[in-house]
Amino acid sequence: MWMKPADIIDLPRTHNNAATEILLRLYVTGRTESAARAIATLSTLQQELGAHKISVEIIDVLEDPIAAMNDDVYATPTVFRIKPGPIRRLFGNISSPEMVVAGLQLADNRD
Amino acid sequence: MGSTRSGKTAPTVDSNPNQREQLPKTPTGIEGFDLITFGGLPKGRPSLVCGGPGCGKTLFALTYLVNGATMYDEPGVLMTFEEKADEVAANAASLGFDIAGLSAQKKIAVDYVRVERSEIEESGDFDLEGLFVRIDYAIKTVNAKRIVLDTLEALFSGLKNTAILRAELRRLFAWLKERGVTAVITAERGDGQLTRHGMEEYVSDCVILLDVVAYEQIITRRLRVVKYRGSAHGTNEYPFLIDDQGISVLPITAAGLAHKIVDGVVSSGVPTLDDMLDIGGFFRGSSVLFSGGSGTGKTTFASSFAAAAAQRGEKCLYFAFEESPEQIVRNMLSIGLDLQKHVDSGLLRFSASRPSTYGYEMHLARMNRDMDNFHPDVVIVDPLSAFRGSISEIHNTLMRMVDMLKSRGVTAVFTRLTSTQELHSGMDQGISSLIDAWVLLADLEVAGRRTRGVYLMKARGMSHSNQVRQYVMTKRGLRVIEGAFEGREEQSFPTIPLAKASNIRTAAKPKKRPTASRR
Repeated sequence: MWMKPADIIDLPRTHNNAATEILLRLYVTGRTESAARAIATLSTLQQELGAHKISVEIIDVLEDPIAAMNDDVYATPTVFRIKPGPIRRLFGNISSPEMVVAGLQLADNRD
Repeated sequence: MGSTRSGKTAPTVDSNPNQREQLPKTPTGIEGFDLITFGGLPKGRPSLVCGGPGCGKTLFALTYLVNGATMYDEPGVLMTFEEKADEVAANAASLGFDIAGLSAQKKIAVDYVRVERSEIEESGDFDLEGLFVRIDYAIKTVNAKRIVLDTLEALFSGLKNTAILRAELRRLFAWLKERGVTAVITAERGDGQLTRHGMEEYVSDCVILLDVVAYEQIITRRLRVVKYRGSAHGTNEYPFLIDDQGISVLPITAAGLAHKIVDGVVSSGVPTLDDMLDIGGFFRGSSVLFSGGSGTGKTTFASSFAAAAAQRGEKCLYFAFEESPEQIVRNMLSIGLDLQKHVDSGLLRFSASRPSTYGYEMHLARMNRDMDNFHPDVVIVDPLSAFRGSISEIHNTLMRMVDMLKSRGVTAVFTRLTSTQELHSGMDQGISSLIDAWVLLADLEVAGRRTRGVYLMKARGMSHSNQVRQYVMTKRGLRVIEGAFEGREEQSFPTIPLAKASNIRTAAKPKKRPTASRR
C-alpha cells in the first residue's frame, strides 16, 4: 500500500520498477521549494542514466505517512537507494545529480 | 559588586501559590509524584525527564503513558528513537504493561524512529518534516493527549548539522505545545549540564532529574523536580522505587508533625498486658515498641497485636525483616495463635524482605507503596534492629517511618532486639523520642530459675503500672501474671529494667552531697 506513486509530479518512469537496475525512492513534504529541487535533480539523473536503468518513486509524506513510517523517514527531503541493496539514505539539499550519485554510492552502476 | 547587590530590591515572593490561577496539570498516575508536583505535569506542555543510563527515564515515561491510557482515558503516542518497538513492548511487559494490547485498542500508538548513522548521507538543508508528519499521524490515530519522545537526543548522534537540528527541535516543541499534547521528553544526563545536548534549553516548563546511587552495594533511586515553571513543587530529592509493580515516589517531606489524632484504644491482643495500662490498651494511631533480648517473645507480642487487629476486623500489614511469613505463622501456632486464618481472610498481609535488599530509602518507599495498596489499620515492623548502619541514618529513617505511619493514623508496632550494652547507647534514647509506648521485655533470673519479665518503660498520655510483671507463653497465648514479682528487686532483676532503675537510684543519691559540702 505504501508503494503509491506520487501523482503530483510528472516524471519519466518505467512501467516496471523492478526491472531497472537502480531504484530510488524520494520522500518529500508537500510542494516545497526543496521538494521541487530534489525532484528536478532526480529527473535529471534519470535522463542522464536512461529510464531503462533507473527508476524513481516519489512519495509525499503528507499523503502517505504510513509509508514514511515504514521507511523510517524523519527528515525531508530524503532519497533512498532501494536497489541495489543495502539501503542507503540521503537527505538535505538534493540539488545536483553528482551529489546523489556520490551520496548513495551509485557510481558503480554508472556507465 | 557588593553595592549592586545591596541596591537590589528583594524579590517579591508570592506567598500563597493557591491564590494564583492554578496551572492545569496532567496526572502521571505515578504514586507520590503527583503529590510532590501538586497534580502532575504541566498540561499541554513538554516536560523533560533526564538522568544517567539505567536511571529509569524510559520506565518513568512509559508509566506516564500507560497510566494515561488505562487510568485517565487519555490515549498516548510513544515515539522511540532508541529501542525497537517490540523491545519497548518487552520492557514494558516487565512492569506488567501490555503495550501491544493497548495499541490494538487504539489507546497507544508506538512509532519507532531508527537513526542509523552508517547508512545516512546528509547534505545541506533539511527539515524534520518527516518526523512531524509521523507524530501528527500517530496522534491522530489514537486521538492522543499524551506523547513520549524517548530519547530525542538520538537524533544528535545521527544528524551532523546540529544547527538545523536545534532549530527544528525548537519548532517541534512549539508545535507540540500548539497541539496541546502533554509531552514527556527523555534525555541523557550530561557533564556539567542537565542533559548532554542541552535539551533543557528547549523544554523548560518542567524538568525532572532522576538519579541512581549505589552505596555499599545497595541501589537507591532518587527523583528531583529541578524546575517547574508557574507551579510550586517539592524541592527535595525523593527516593523512588522501580519493581514489578511499577514506579512509586516517596514524598518524604510531605509528612510532618501534623498527624491526625485518631481516637480510641486498641488491644495488644494480650488482655493481661492491656491491664497494665489504665486505658485498657494502647492509643489507636500511636507507635508501640517491644524491645528485649533474643528469645523474649518480641515477635510473639507483635503477632498477638496483629491477630487482635484482624479479630476486630481491622487490616494489618506485617513487615517481616528477619523471618519468613511461613515461619512466623508456624511458630505462632505453638502458642495457639492462628495467623493463617487471618491471612486467608485477607485481613492480615505479610510483606517480607531482607533488610539488605534495599537501602533505607527504598524500604521506606516500598512500605509506603504497600500501605497505599492495602490501607492497613495496624502495621507491624519486625524487627527494627534488622536495619544496620550509622545511628543518625537509622534515626532519620525511623523518624520518617514513624511520620509516614502517623500521618496515616496507623497504629504501629515495632520490635527491637536490645542487648544490655546497647541499652545505654544513644540509640535507644533516639528511638524513645519517636515512640509513644515502650514495652520492655527481659529475660530474668529469679531465685535460680529463668523467667520473663515485662515492664512499661513509657506510655505517653496515660498512667500505667510501674511494676515488673512476669509473663508466660502458654498454649493458649501470652499471659502476663498480675502483680509485681515477689522477692527483693535488687537481687532479683540484675538485667535491663533494674539496671536502669538502679542507675536512677545511684544518680539520685549524690544529690545529698552538695548540701553536705556546703556546710
